[in-house]
Amino acid sequence: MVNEWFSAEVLPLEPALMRLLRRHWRYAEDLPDMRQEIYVRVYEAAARDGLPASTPAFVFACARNLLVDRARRAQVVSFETVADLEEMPEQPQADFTPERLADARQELRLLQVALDDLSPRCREVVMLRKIEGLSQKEIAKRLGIAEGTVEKQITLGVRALAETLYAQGVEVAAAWMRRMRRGERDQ
Amino acid sequence: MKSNSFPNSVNHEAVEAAAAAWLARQDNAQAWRQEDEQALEAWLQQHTAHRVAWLRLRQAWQRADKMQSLSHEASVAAEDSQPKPHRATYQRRPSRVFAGLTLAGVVIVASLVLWSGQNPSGQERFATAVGARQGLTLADGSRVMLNTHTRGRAVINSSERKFWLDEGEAFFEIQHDPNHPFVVTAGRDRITVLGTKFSVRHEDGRTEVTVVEGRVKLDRTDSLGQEASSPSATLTKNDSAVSQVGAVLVATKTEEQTQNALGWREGRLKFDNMSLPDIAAEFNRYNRRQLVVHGDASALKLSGQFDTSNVDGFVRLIQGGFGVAVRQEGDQIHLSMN
Repeated sequence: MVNEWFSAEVLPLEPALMRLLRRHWRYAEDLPDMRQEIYVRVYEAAARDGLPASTPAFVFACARNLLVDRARRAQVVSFETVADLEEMPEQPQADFTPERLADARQELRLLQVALDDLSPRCREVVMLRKIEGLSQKEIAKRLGIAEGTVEKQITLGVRALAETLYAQGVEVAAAWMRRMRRGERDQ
Repeated sequence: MKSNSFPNSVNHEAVEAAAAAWLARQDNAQAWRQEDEQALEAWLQQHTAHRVAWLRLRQAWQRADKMQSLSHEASVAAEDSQPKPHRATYQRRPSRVFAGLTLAGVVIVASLVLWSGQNPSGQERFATAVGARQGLTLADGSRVMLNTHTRGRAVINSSERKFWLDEGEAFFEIQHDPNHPFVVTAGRDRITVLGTKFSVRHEDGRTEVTVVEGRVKLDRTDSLGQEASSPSATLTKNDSAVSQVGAVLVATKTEEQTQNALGWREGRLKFDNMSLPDIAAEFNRYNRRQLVVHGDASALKLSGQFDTSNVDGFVRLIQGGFGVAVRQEGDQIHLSMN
């Protein structure tokens, strides 16, 4: 129940959440840990107290609290960070909304970008698995590699796909559109 | 892999690596056992960080299932753009994504417009070559996509909207205009709509109409193209009608069957439990090289989807997977049972 809610309502907020964190936290290397911590807090609160009335407002509040906690705990916090956080509204702003790609074609563009970013071997394995629907065993046979290698490539592919699909969201789709248009001009 | 190889730490990097490893292992369904399921459950219970990381990656991995239709990506992009009647509207980009992948079949499908232009009667003419397809936007804003080896004409003005499908197949998205019905004429079959989505295929005096949205009226004209002599048939969503030698047969299809029938718009052939001769006939519409089915091979039934141009990929598949013998002879590919 909480699992389904988390997948359907919290995860689509990830691009908005990452934008928020980036705006208010200058150390990019901290962001994935912060994201994870927010997710943990959100998940545990929902499991304990029931699902919130408004998921965006709830996730936003968790993010805000975490940012404030971190800023207080940090040894060195820049003046701007504190000022920013003080100015941060109590309620989510208009752009804190689930990122749902408008249609299938945008989703596909995004997937294509995600695929392009994989290493050639990883891409080959992911495509055989996802496009041709071969099993891991069949892929190993087709490519003449060990099943363990296939599994390892899928491990890498899962993470790389997630990075592109969530973190960059629609921005990637926009980049892809620009690329398409450039490509058209070049023809 | 031992479950204790996954760390308990909540460091996001380690957790995410472990979650990805679990998913990859789970993805190998044949090797996934009851004790693996229990070990995964135990790992998920260990820390909420494990669970959220696993849910997050699982969702991304599931989203990637949509890649099955990736190969039609380029064509939908082309639909976005305005029609350019005097040049190839759409050329599939041989993305480096597909390098090395044989069966997904990427062959450049050049959509050559053989001839197009207005003649004195105000008719606009369109045609596509074998293996090509082309999207058009008509003067009323209606959109038409022409499939392989198709010829058509259109007259669109303030008083009438007419399209003649002389040969081949086209998909129509008609702008709604209750005062001006849009009429498609295919041989003696006449399709009348106000605003809807449907496809028409016309070959050798046989006309097939598939309705995706809305309502269309199908009737036949006499040999002079005058008023209908027989009662008309009304078709709605997912209806498919075949009109042949004066008889009209209407069947209601499932959503999936309708979509399969229209896979060509994305350059895909989709078939569900279709006989090899029927599949061969479909491929043959799109390719110069022709499949010829012999003997027992005719009994073979297959499901799958391929690029319309990927005959070679298809042939390799049935050769490897179904024991079909293949003999190439000039532009003919002969298929028989081993």
